[in-house]
Amino acid sequence: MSDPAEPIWRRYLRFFGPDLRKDIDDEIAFHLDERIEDLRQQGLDAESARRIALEEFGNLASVRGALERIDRQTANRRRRRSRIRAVWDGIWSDLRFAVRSLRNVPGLTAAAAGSIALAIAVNMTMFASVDMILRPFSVAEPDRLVRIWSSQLQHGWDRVQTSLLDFYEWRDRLTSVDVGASRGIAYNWADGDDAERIYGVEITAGYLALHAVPVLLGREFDRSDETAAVPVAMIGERFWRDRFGADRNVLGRAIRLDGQPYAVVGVVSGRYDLPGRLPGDDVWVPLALSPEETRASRSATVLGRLRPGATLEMVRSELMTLVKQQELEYPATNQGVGVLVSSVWDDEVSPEARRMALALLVAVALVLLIACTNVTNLLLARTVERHQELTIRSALGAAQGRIVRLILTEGVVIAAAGGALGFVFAAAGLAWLSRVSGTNELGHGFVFAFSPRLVVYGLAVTVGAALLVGILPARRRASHLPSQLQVSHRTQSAGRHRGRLRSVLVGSQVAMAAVLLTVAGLAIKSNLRLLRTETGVAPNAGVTFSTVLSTREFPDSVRVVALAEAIGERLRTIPGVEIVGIGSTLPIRPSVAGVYFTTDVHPDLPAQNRPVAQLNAVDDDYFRSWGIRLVAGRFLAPSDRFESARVVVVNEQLAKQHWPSDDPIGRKLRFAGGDWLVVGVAADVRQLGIQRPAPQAVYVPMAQRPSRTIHYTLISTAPIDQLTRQVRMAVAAVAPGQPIIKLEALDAHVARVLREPRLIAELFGLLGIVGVVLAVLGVYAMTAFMVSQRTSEIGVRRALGAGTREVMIAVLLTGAGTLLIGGGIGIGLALVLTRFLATLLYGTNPHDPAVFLGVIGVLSGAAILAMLIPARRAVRIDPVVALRQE
Amino acid sequence: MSETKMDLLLGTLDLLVLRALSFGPSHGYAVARFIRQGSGETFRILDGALYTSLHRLESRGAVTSYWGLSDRGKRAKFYELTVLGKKELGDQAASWARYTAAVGRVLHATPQPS
Repeated sequence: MSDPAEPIWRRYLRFFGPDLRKDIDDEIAFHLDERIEDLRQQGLDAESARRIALEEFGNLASVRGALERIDRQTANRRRRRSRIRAVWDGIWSDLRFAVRSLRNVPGLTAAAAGSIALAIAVNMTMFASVDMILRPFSVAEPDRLVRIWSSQLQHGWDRVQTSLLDFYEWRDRLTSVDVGASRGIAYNWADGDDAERIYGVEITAGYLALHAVPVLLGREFDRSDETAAVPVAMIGERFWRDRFGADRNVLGRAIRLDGQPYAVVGVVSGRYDLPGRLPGDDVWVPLALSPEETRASRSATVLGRLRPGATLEMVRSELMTLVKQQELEYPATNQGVGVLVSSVWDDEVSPEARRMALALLVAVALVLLIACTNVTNLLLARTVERHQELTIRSALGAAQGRIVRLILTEGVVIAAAGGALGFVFAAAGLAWLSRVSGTNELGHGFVFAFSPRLVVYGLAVTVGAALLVGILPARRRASHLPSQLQVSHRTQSAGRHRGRLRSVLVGSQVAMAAVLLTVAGLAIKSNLRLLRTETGVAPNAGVTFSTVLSTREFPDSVRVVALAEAIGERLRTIPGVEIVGIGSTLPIRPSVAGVYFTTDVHPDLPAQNRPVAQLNAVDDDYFRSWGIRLVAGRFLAPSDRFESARVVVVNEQLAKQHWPSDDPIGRKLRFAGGDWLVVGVAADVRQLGIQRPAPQAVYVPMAQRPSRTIHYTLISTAPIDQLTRQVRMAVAAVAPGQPIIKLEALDAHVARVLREPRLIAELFGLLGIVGVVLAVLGVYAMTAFMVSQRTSEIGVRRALGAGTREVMIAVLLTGAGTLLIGGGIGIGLALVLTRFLATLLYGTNPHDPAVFLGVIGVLSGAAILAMLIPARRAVRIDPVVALRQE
Repeated sequence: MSETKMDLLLGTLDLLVLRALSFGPSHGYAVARFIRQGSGETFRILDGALYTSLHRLESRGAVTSYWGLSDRGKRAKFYELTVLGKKELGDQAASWARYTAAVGRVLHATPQPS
């Protein structure tokens, strides 16, 4: 249409849109004229030329109608397309304008985007850790997994493992659930000179398929394997790679476990996630009934998956019936044996964990709100500074909508930039999280990475932030009218209303920071207290490792004790080694070995009422190697041999429980089929983890009750590397082929135990710091802005003789009210809210005065600092310069 | 005229129109003249159908139009092939050639002993 040949007058017509009908008529008329002209040149008269031309054309009216229809469609399509383009062009130009105008205020933009970035990064990092807490394993449909326990309520045991014979009957009869059973197992694996203690699981047929554990090579076990004469095994992926170089021909080869050959039938993928803890995944063998096993041997852990349409209740009622039948059929073994069905999901994610996750999420939400408030405030301040510009724009006819859009777009640009930067920061946060969270019991590291869920969350937070920061300033602006255009800066009063809004925002920011800081402070204090808790041990420099003597190679206790002591003797000859302690357990590691006992106070307590004590078989140096204090009597001695009188050292907890007012020394305990004379009392050790109080515990001489699992603890100041080498040589010299398990520095063992409280303290610390930094930024921005707005007023005051002190105080006072009110509300809110934290706090009052005073101190200090910088600038205002600006 | 013949005819007409425009922009009457002369008056195409073809081609973006002046200095609507139209011409011409060749082969074939 831009053809130069087009008559000018037609162009004006186009203002009213193309006239379709007229164009079509013109086009047809032109055609007919030309045709008539041609025909006449061929010699026809005007009349017949016209007739022929019309005949050749066809039905004029219907062609015209068809053309009009086509053209109307074309025009509509074009109009739609151009409308979309106009909208897009509008957005694009808004964006360009916003970027350009933000580039003029790089400091503000950086502060705003930085706030958002920090908040988004912190949000994503916390989300990743909360996700890990709430989803400890990721199998398909985790809510359909059930755990089935036997129970013997007359003993107070609600969750005991199940007898395999009972399980077989369940497996065949249950209709609402598919079940599989497993049992942890460990072998000494040997291949030539190479030997290793390997850990694995015994599983029933179809167990892997039931829980969607992939099989890389070969097959998993079927029912015939459970009773097969030739033992078969599957090996774990890691073991396969480390020991067989990922050789695909491993199938059918034999591996020697505890000296016996097993045919390898499959390789289990390392990429799986089973609830609960496996002792290891190097080897998998069929769970089969051993000859000595009876219905009373309860050792299998039963895990099931609900069949489609089944519920937990159906499983419960089905099992109740089965268990009652078994009770009647096998009264000797099953009298009083019940069943407990629980959802794995509910078991694994404890209420404490849920509450902790919730607390973390609330805390990060506060961080995000503080950051958004910051940006909102900065944008509001900007609209005030640009009051003149914006008012002139709207006086010149810029639509209100357009101005609102400009402000909104600035918010969006800032949020987008902050979001992008936030993802970068989040990557660093995830790397940090992966580093500090260490490894689990299987030695697998926790890996925190960008999961699809996390990315979606990050994007959602970014969009939310964009909306939050843009809306308020834009709404404010929308109420502005061109009539507010004012000539002088000083007489401008329209800003007052917005000034109050900004104060409210800063005040709420301070309030949120106070709440956040209080929560963080309480969490840190509680976790620091945990870290400082008397664990009961005082480890020195040294190493610890364990070994297990297999039944096959060391059938009798005498040989077990002999070898354990021989290794100990050899270790003592390593130069620089001061103490070698031997024990069946390690301190502060939950251990399953427990015994039921009676005391001489109530020697004939019925079985179901007997207390349990944690059983440790140790030698005389065990206590000294771990720094466990002696409270009374004596420790065990080398003279406490198998042949001599049975002696025991009890812990304070046990002594307090049973002989609260008497001297425990010389009293007697009865357990493991004999009487034991108490010769000493040792200080409590937090065996079950530092959050839990010490259980009752007994220490018996290794020589009198040997254990096949033996932990050695060596105290030496020699370098760890050197010590490690010497330990391996020493063990190999005494017992070639005997595996060495988990050789590590003593402090590494203790550090792992303390990892969780430390991590939580660090997370909350991080949140607190981020929150305070953001709030301080907010206070600073508010004060700085106020000073810049009042430059002329301050100049006048200075000119009238106000001194440095007066100006500073005036500046500090203007913000003080806001801060005091905000801080007060925050502390008040914190007092109410922290009550919900009470159950999460260890030995810390939710209204801990020190924490609250600390919060007040930190916040006031930070706020004063934030105000001092602009206040000093105010002091430097030169009255002459300030007034000349008018 | 049956439905299939009509379709064939329509498609063919589009192809002819595109070809007529392939020498450069021209108005509807020039297109009509080109087809009339090029076919040696073989086709009896109503000129009205030509215009519906042109407008349809414009609607689907194969040609654009503008108002200009004819050789005799009269105001006329000119049509020009777009990139899309050039491509469509190439495709349609090729498939037309294949089609006629196949029809021709069949017509000249004699039954083979099986």
